[in-house]
Amino acid sequence: MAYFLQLVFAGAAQGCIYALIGLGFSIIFKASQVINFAQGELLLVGTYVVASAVLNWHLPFLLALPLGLLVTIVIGLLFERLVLRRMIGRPPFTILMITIGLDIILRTLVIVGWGSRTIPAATPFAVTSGFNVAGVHLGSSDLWTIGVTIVLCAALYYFFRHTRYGLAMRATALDQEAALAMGIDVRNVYALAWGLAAAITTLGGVLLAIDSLAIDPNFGNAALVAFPAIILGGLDSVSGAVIGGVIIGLTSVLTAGYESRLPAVVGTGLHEVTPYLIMILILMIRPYGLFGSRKVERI
Amino acid sequence: MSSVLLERGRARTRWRRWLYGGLGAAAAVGLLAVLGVLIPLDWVTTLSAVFMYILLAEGWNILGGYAGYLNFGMVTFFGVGAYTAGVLCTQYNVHPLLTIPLAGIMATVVALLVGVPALRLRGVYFAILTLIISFLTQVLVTNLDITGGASGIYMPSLPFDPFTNEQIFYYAFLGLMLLAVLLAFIIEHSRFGYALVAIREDEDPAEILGVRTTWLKTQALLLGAFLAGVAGAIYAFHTSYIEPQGTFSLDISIDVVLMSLVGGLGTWQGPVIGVPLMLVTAQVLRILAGELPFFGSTIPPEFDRVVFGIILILVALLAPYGVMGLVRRVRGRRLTV
Repeated sequence: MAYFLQLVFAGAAQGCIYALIGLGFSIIFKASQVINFAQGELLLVGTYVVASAVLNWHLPFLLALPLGLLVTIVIGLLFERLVLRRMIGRPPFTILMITIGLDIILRTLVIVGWGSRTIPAATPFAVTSGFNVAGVHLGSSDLWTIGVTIVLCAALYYFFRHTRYGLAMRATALDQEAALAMGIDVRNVYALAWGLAAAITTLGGVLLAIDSLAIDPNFGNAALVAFPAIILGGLDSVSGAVIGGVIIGLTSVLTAGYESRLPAVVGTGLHEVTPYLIMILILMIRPYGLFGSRKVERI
Repeated sequence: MSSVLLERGRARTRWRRWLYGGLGAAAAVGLLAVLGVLIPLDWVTTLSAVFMYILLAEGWNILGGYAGYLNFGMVTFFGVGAYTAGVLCTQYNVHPLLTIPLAGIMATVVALLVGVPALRLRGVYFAILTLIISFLTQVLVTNLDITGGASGIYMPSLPFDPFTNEQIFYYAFLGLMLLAVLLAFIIEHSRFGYALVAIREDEDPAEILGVRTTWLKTQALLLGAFLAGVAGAIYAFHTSYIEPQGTFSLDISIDVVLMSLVGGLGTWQGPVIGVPLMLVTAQVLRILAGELPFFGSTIPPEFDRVVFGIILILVALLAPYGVMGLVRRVRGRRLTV
């Protein structure tokens, strides 16, 4: 039982990271119907900046984190302002490819700037810190991950329900022309979505890096693991991204914990593919996910 | 009377256009054939890569360009082709020449297995699914025993000196590329091609008007997969060593789409323009990178991919239909005035 609870705890923490990365995708998608394929590379740049700030410039972690967030927010805003805003009304196909262009540029700049070798990640905790409850070890990094995600989700809930800008974003997502007619500056909404998404995803990336201890230029592939989460939750559902993330995290960690008891044919490595198998299954029977809005999707 | 004259004149212009087009194409092919023996070895290799990517891009273009389905799975078919050739050749002693068509067939079978479920989806969902399938195939190939896992497969080398070897692959890729370009040209001017364009413009009305959308999309995918499989097999013999990280690299999928987009989607000329533009730029940059100073040190070789990204963004911003879009705009202006 303690083993099961331990796995549930670890799965919840991992799920929170998927949720944060997934939130980045769905906030942008909901606002502007764009899937941002550069999300993983925004996260990559952010984690590298935080790691450098702590390890090379000897800043305290709590100062390095805002610095990393700031850098990715600026990149996101600049890209939105200088490139994407000129693309409004163009085919989604082209817009999608343009985010891949950003992805290629950011990844290569990281390789050019930091080299392609693995570097240690910045972490404010010792690896073994934490405490035990009823035989379950609660690591501080996992506790912080869960705590930060809960607080952030509450803040987002408040933001989308009760603030001017949050309401403006929801109105724009619902009907762009009507929102324009009511005097909402849709351009600000897009910029806000990109800034928010960049910051939240980077936060997810930094927490993931604390978990995996080291980062290399392929770290951006972490965004690939967020795809199952957002497809499960529904691409255009912000709360869906969170719930999808937690479900995928739990499934993945529980499979990893119990796959050794399965027959050898399906055994090792199964946990790496279960999220994607769930995703393919969802795509086949319910492409708009658990909480997404049902509509015909085409390019 | 005048209409007969007009008709005759029109037929003559059309005939003349075909003549010039044919002569131009023949001259280009002749030039490329002669280049194979004249230019230095590293440029022979670069041009082989150009031909291979044109082959892949024309294959991608059938579904991606004409029908508008953003397929990130070309590397799956390419890699399956390469590994089919590798496994058959090293473990079952099949003659290398025979493995090439078999690789194409194997890639087509995989495309059928992947495509039938994937083609039920549209838009971003299709793009995400094909991206994830490429990723999963890479994981699968890394973990299987028959593929040699992460350590890969060493291919048998041909019994020639290095220079002849490069030339053989140069002409192999050249020939296949010409066939692929011809195929794309035929498709573009056929009922099949028009039906695919109808799917891209608006799929549901196309279906209502009697276009068998699912069947045609599947055909387009299978054709592209066959070309990619054949390209993969020849690539495997060319590089003489295949392993999952490089052969199934997502970069290949993305580059194929990127180059087609720069050249112009849904035109047979698109890949022929886009691929050399990007690859020759990259090669020139790589040569320059050794010499130019860059903030006190030299430009690292990875830098050419930044240029890829910048070209992609610029083209999407300024010329949304690629180089061919610009060409058509200029030509259209001349004809209408």
